[in-house]
Order: sequence, then structure tokens, then C-alpha cells
Amino acid sequence: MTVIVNVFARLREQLGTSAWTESVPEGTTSRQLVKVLSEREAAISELENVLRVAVNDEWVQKDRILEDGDEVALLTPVSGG
Amino acid sequence: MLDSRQSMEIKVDIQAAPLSLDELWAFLAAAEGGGIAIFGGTTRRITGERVTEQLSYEAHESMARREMEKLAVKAGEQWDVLRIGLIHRTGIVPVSEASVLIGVASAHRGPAFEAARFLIDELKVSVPVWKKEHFADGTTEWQGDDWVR
Repeated sequence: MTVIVNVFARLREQLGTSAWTESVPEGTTSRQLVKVLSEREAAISELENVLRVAVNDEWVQKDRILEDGDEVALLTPVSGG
Repeated sequence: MLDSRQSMEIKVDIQAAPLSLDELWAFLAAAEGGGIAIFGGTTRRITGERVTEQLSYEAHESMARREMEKLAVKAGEQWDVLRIGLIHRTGIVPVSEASVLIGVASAHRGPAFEAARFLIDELKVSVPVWKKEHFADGTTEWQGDDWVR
């Protein structure tokens, strides 16, 4: 199955892209996805400890099981206002 | 039996254009309550020894809208308020211009002040928006090293 990964702000700048499609096995959790991505991308690895995940615009726990077509956002600590 | 309380109305927006105080005021005043509190967050020139030229903001827009709506609903559950407006700007925000406007209309002033304080404090905790400092020395820096909670 595939999910769409969205990144913002510093992560978007460091990766040079704001979104991409990722093929993952059925049953993959958000935690497993972050792990796979951080092994591939140093920028994600460096921020892994502070990353939080949202799926389809909702905050989720790291063990959330992903579904085909999910939009997964990797969020660094927010600083709005 | 009719509920004598009016239902609360919420206006949430994220926009690149400068924030309009007049539009927010008109929305809040239409509640016909007894008080309006508005908080504006603006770009600060001096932070410690650093001089800021401008800030830029980026949002996860669809999620930020939802999170802002959730905060407004939560505020409406805690305080007796009539209308809540939350508007965040994205892109470049020059010094002294507003990046965020929080407005609350209520029948009496207390809940408007308290809800506005709650809304700006919580917006900074949970709404996916990021701020980048553009300093006078030409350097830039994304803000947000860790989560508030």
C-alpha cells in the first residue's frame, strides 16, 4: 500500500520537498514508518526524538496502524502565534 | 424547553494577506454582547541581543484549521462566550505587523479576557504552525526546539 508523507518548515527545507508517496507493507505503524524514513534520511533521523505524527489532520499515537492512502504528517515542535 | 443560551459562532482562518482587525471586529461585534477582547501577536524587533528584520510562518493548513476550531470549541465549553475568531497569517510578517489575531465576544468582559488568554496560550502548544526568524545579520532560524507539552 502507499501513504503520502507531508513535511513542513525546517524538515521541508532540509529534505527539499514538501510531500512524497511512500510504499509500505500492510499493517505498518506510524512508528515503523518514521523509523524507515529516519534510516534513509539524516534530516529525519536528527529530529526523530522530537517528531510527532498526524494522520489525515489528526494527532496520532506512534503505534497507529496506517491505511492505504493515509496522509502522514511528520511534525517538528510547533512555534506559531 | 428552549435553551436561553445562544449558540457560539466560530470563525477560523489562515491567510497570507495582512490580518484585518476591522473584519474581525465586525464578526465579533455582530454577537451583540457586552464586551470584545482581542489579542494580537506581532513581530518583535528585539529579542535579547538579536534584531529581527521579519518573521515568516508556515502552516499545515488543513490540520491547523481543525486544531484552531477544536480550541475554539473547547474555550466555548469552558467560558460563556458568544463568538470566537482565530486568524493566523502565513508567509512574511514584517516587524510590528500581526501574525495572529484572537478575538472573543461575550456578554460580560471576564470570559472574553480569560478565553482569549487560553486561546493564544493553547494555539502556541498544539496548532501546527512554524515561525522562522530572519535576523538583521542575514541569518535565519526556525523556531521550536521542543514541544511545550
